[in-house]
Amino acid sequence: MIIKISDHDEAHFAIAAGLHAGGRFSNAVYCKGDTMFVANTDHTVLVRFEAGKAFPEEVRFFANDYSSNELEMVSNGIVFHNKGKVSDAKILSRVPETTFAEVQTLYHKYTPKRLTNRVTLSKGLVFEHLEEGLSHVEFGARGGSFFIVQRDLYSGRLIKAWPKAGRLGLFKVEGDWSFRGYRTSDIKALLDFVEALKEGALDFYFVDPFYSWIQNDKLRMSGMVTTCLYDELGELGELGEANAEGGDKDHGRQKQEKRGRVKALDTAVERGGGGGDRGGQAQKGLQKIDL
Amino acid sequence: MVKDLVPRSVRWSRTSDYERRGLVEEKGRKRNYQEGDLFRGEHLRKERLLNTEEMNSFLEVSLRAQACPLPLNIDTWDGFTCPYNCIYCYANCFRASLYSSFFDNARLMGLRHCNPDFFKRELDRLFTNRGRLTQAGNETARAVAMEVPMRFGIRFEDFIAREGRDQVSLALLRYLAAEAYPVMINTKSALVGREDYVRALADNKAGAAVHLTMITGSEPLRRRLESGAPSFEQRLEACRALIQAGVKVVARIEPFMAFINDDRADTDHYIERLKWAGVKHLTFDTYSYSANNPGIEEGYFRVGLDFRRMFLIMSDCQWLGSLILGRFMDHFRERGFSCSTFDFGNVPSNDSDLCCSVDSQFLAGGYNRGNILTAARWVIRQKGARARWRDFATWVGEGGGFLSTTIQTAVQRLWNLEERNGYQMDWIPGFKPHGPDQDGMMVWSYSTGTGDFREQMLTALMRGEEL
Repeated sequence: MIIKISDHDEAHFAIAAGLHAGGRFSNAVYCKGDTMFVANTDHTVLVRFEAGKAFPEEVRFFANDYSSNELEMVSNGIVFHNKGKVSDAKILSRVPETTFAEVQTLYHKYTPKRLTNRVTLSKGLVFEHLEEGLSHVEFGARGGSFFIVQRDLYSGRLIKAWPKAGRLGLFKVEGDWSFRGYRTSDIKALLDFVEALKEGALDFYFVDPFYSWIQNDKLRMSGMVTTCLYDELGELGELGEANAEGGDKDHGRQKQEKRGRVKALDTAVERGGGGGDRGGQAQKGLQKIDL
Repeated sequence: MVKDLVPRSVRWSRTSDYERRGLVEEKGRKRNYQEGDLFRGEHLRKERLLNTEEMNSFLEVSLRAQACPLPLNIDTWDGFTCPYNCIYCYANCFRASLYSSFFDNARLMGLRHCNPDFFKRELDRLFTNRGRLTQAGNETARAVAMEVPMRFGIRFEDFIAREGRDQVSLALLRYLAAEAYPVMINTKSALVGREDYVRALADNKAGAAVHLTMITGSEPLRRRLESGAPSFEQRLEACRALIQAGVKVVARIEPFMAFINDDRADTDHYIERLKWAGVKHLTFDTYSYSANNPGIEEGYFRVGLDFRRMFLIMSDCQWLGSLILGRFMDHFRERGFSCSTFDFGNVPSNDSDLCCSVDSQFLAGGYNRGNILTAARWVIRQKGARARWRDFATWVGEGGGFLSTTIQTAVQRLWNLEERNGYQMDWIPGFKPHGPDQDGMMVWSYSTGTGDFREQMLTALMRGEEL
């Protein structure tokens, strides 16, 4: 059966194209009934959308293969029916091995019973001071303050930003949690997508150390993005004092001692070290703090 | 004169600002990195691993081909650190930084080498284009088509002790001899003087030359500078064996470092021993600006040598380093040696067109004419006449042309003073720019009568004038 994809649904496939794809295959799209899933090949992101037009049967394909809004599942893959000015073409492509049902089961497995620790983020908010070229971004919250950290291991530079509460009316912090690392490319792709659809913000629920739940009710979009672990995660060194008002009891004494030389921070970002050597020396003083 | 002047202006640095640290700070890779996998429901370890046993990237055109007549580099060995442990070498820092930035297991890499079956297969394929420039596509293929000599030892020491057992470089030397493809070696190893290596070089009908780096005649200083390398005498023995077999040998003093390896008595001893070995040619260079690295400075400090003063004179103050090097080379010339250098300030006085002092081996064969140093020598040969890019490019074309349009553009930018670095025409004493021609390219002339700006600057410095 040839299925015609609606403009609404086609626009949502863009997120599959925008997510980082590691390895040989591109990101995958799974559709059935009124549900669409997008998963990246590294299995760090899974997003669910409501379809604009119900899919009468299961459709799945790799995002890079998508070449026409008329497609047909066949026994050995998927056929895209391309209409050209001079001639028409049918293109047969392979499909992901994972089925819609398996992806749906996975989605339900990770759907939290209770949504907690919400922060609403936009691309502008996250990347105002951060660099898209750095591989990871870390989020943490304490006492109503939310922190974003990036570290350039190459130069030793550490960037810590704390968005101002109430900014753009989008920002709200609920709960406390220690730093969690994410692939910058995953966060950027998700925020790019909601921005492109004129819904410039996405709710992040920091429900579990393994993953965060993401949701945008207007877009009828929900899903999850997994965390990354590494030894440097949460190390803030000199920048740790910047949130001295945050109430970190374990390090309160240290902060009291250093408070005299910590400048009151009225800016939204501070950078640790300007480059190679100075950054390297700054790193020597790193401490692990649990916000 | 300079040696009297400088200590009054630049004080001996007795301390190091740097805390004890390794040669390089390794960078870029997060430690014990794991990524959450939704399908597996757990964090999985993600690593990018380097092949620690074998290397496949063995042949390349140098990134400095725009300033080098012999830029076709071939290397059979690689390692995280070189066992010779020369304190002035920046290659270890670069390699460590590069490998630790991209791979998680770089530290586990000891020494690795190319598989002879692999490089023979690759070279068999490349050699089908020898002499057929129109068939050659990329820079490497064009360099092979032009029969530019392959040069060992630029990225790593290819004649380390393990090579004597594994004989990987030897297999390649024998292959090149059988194919009659010209070869050149840069090394500090005495292994090249072993009979089988000498034979593989002497039997190469296309020509072979060996650069033996020997930067001092003082064995105590040599041990401080190159603790893991063969002794000066072992290297001299290798020189002697090669020369007696008819292989061209060039002694290499690189880096030449004021206040470190310029002692008069050591130098005269060095000269005496070179004569014993039969060496008649030398090549020199000042200390590399790229080697301004805290880890390297620390290495000097640990053996009681002043890096900062040397670096200030030889690299930071390029005109002064160049002037001192010129005088040092004259000392050798006066004792019967032919001398050349890559240092632009001394290009006019080079005794060879190829700054590696290997004219007799390779000038008549294929070499990369399309580089700025050869361009400078070409301008000098115009004997004061106005030298135009168009004519130079025609001459390059007669010798096979530029290795690529990228390299051509880079040379052109240097010719037109659009790049500010150590390889531009106005660093050469006697060179005068005359403005652009109708093609928009700078016109140059060379004259010996215009004085040496380096000497003028030194005179001004001695008078206490601001430079």
